[in-house]
Amino acid sequence: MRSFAKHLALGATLATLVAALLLPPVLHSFGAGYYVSTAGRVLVFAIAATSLNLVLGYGGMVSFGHAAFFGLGAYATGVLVSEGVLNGGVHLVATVALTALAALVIGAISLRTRGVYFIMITLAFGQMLFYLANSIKGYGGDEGLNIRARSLLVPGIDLKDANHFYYVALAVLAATLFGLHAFVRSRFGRAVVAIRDDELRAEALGFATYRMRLAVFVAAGAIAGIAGALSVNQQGYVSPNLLHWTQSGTLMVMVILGGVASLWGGVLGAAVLVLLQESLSAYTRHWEFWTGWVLLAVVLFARRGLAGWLARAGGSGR
Amino acid sequence: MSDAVVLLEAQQLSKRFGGVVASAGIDLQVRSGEIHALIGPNGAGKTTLVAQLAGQLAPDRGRIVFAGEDITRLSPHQRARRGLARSFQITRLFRSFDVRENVELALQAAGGARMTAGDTARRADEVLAEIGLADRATASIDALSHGEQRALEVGLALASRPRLLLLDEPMAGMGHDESKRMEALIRRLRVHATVLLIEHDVDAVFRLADRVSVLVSGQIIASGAPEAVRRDAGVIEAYLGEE
Repeated sequence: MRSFAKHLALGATLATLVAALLLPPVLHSFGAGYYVSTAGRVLVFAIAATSLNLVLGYGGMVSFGHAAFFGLGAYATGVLVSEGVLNGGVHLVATVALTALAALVIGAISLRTRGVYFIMITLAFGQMLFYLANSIKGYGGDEGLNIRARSLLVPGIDLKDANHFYYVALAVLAATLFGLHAFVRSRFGRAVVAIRDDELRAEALGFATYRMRLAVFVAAGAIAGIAGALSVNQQGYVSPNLLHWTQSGTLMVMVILGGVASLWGGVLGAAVLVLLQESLSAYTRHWEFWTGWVLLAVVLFARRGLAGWLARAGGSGR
Repeated sequence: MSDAVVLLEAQQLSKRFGGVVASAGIDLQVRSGEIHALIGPNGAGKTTLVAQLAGQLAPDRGRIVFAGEDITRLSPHQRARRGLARSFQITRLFRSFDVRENVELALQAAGGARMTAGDTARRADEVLAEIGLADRATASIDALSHGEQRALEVGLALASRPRLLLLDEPMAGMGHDESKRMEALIRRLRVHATVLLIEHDVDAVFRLADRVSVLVSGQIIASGAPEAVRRDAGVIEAYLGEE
């Protein structure tokens, strides 16, 4: 039974991958090529939401400032591009270094607190970075920063092209999901989940809980930063609003909607929320009101989010 | 008592919470290889003392020496790595994992990075057999009875073969048969570990312990062989008499 469920999960994963690979040509053949960029937006948010799921779902750290790392990553790459540095490898290293450092400092302080205090202090740090981004006049200040060029990856790939961007983002998302999958099964990952279950017990048994939680916080911050770097490449624009706490809230809604502590939770949540926003905003300015009802239904009727509901429907248990 | 090597020593431990003095200069010596019981009425400060010994609470004053090393400033995980393990009065288990995985996590936490997967699995089997949960290895925590959860609670603490086990009321909330099983388990433990047993069940304590210390109002008022402590006038007045 167990191996059957395993095969089913593997089959579903492969089918999802094939569908994701075929999506752009299929959309084009239906004359709906415009939606390739929407799909790209889903992928960017899926990466960011997955990184939040790592820290929130598996790590048990309810970080309410996660968008700050997303925005910081977008600024790191955006500023480099606007200064004429176009090497994508440099962008990646700078983005990861900056967001990991920020997460290290913020996490080192925030992780000394618990519960509501942790939520509030991460929110406060996020807002500090939001105001910082607003006040940097040299790079757009509160109007945001427009970039004309894009990160140069390898010759032949142009991130201005929606199809190219889509496949690059898909590769990053696939790597993120694979990494999360491996993490959950690793000794380190199991220890992190044990710490989430009962930190006092885990530390009494010998786990260096503070350092382990901090490592997860930093990794999640860096992944969010990479999502931000993709975002500025897609939009050609980075706004301080990317760092705003409401953006952190949006990421959190995606995780809860999709499934806390489930591999696909961030992806499903991002897909549903972005698509709801796109489709509802065509009919009403109050799309968030209707989205709220969807969230309410999921929280009430699918307690492990959409991922949990799908797993039950597919008969593969947890 | 010729080889009465002191494994754990508390010196003048003091801890107050606002106006409440939980530890008022506690001196306690636990000798290597003994089962040392700590008894005392509710509110005597037993749990506060255990938390200071294991590192969850920092004392205001005083020193803790374990195996010759001053561990007063060490964190709980550093103490655990040195072989000082504890169980909890209120069961604390990892609910995302099954019984066997809980034991394996305990082994990993105590420094099992050097253990191979095979060693970990073998030792986990031993522990499960020892605590009587061998046939419950793949059960989820929520499926365990209260007594089984208590057995696993103690099992996590003893998994890595610590030098000193602090057992905080292991028989709390147990029925008669379960208590008997726990008593037998503690008796077997003494072969490889020193035990500091905090327990409310005075009868069990006097059957198990080599030495007994009595904590009343944050102070040790008597310490010695069970029969001597049982006859101690101060103990009878402060504690045993009222039972």
